[in-house]
Amino acid sequence: MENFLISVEKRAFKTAYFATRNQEDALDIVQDAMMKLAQSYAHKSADDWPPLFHRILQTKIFDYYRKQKVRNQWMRLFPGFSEDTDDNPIDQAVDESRTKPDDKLFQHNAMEALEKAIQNLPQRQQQAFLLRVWEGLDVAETANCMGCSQGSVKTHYSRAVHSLRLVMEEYL
Amino acid sequence: MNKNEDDFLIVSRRLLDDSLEGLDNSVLSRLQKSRKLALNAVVQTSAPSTKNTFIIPSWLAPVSTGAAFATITLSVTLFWTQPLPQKVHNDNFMEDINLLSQSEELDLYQNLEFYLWLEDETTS
Repeated sequence: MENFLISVEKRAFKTAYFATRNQEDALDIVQDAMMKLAQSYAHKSADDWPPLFHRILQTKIFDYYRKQKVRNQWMRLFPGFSEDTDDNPIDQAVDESRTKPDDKLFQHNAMEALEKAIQNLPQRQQQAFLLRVWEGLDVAETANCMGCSQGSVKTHYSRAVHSLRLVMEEYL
Repeated sequence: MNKNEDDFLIVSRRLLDDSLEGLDNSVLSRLQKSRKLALNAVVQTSAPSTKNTFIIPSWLAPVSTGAAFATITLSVTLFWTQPLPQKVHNDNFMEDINLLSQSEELDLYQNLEFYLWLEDETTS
């Protein structure tokens, strides 16, 4: 179990971070997912852990979105209670002056562009892309993790790839 | 899948993998802590519980099932054969209500012992 968790924890964090855009929330989600896997499925075969963990993680992310939605509705009703965020619009603006002075900077910029593009994807496209490309799951496994049909996975995935390709064209 | 798309996916995967190298120490430490918590949870859930454990021997299982069945049968039989409680007589019922609703002086209850004694004295 420990080796499995070590093998997935960083990717799980990044996946949750892409979804939440908040480090603490992402860490909480990963911790909840790990706890759930450990408490409920430790007795299962190690081969079953990857799909179970991804399914749990996606469910936790979905729960997070639902909570955020409810919270935002209340915040709209009582705008005085809204928290100050650290989101600086200047930091979030796309830097148009990216150049390619060396490989390291080029790679850094490419990584930054890809991360931002993934963050900007709709949630389901984001899930489909990360599960298929990064976690290496096939269509059926991805559909199982996302709780939707294989056809939906194909649609979300192809839209995600199309959007990301447009953003990443200059880095390919 | 054409070659361009293949390249794009390979590059994307590589960039995502590389991004893991740059994670903050605070994130790594928190992930490690979460992992330890999860592993402790595995130990706790897999360890046999020592309290409130009562294991019924396998030979006793049919007996306990029979006993449970007999108890249920007896309960149902008693429930249906038991006569219904006597209907409260309307007059008595109204008297009781009157009695209960009367507001006696508090002195009566405080001197109740005296009145009982007085009654004994008068009868004897």
